[in-house]
Amino acid sequence: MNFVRRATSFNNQPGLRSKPGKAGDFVLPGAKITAFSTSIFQRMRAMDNIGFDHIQKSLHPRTNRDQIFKTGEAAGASGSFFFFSHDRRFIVKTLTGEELRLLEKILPALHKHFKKNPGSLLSRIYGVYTVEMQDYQKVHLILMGNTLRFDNNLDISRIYDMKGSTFSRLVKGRTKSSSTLKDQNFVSNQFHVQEIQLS
Amino acid sequence: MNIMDYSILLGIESKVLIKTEMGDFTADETDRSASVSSTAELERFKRHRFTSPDRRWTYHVSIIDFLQFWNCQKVGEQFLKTKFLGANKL
Repeated sequence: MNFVRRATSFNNQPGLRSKPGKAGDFVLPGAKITAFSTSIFQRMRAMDNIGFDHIQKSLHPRTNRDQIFKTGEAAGASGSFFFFSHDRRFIVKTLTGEELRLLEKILPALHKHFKKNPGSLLSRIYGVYTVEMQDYQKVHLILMGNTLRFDNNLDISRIYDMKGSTFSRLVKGRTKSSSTLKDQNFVSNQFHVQEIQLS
Repeated sequence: MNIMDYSILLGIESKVLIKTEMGDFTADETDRSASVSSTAELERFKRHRFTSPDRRWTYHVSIIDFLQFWNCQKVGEQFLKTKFLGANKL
């Protein structure tokens, strides 16, 4: 709980009056943070041995300043904003209300799926929070584990984000090896990917 | 009808194969213990890592963005965005 309190302590806006919240609500001067389905996320974090100390260390506002300010530049395809923690262990993304409702619906089943399939390729979700501040629209945030961890960033050859479609799935212009390319780049690059066994 | 949408994220990393009398191995197989901070952490990334049969590549595979719906509204939205904003802005 501590990490959220610290994460917003730099915000010293006039207090937003909040009623005493339910368990899992963070009441702060200037902002109110509601944590969703805390017990399920607690168990999903425990499955991956992630404690609050890890999250606190990775997402400390001082070390993540640059990451957070860069967020505006890197809007995802869905129009969501996201940033990686400075150590690239976590990714924080905005969620739309629709996505939040969907997640609430499927969360118990998703948790069961991860318990039954520890090797699942789905990216893991470690928490969902709604941040409300005076004069601002409320924002839903999702905390996820990063799945791309290269042994050496200099050895990155290509990164692709693929949806199985060739409609408007091309990244144009000059790209770096660390740029995320799409389906049409994958097809035109003709990069040979060897067959692997997905367990 | 709502169809769930998702992306496959594929990262391709090249590996340098070192040939020795005791067999071939890749650079990080020799110093992996030093570069990884904890075993729990290694496990977390291991499920997304696959080594190519010739061991020259590591493929990082995951399924992301699985909370979006792909429906008719989205198709129309995408069309308009492509038309008026240009595809590169997406």
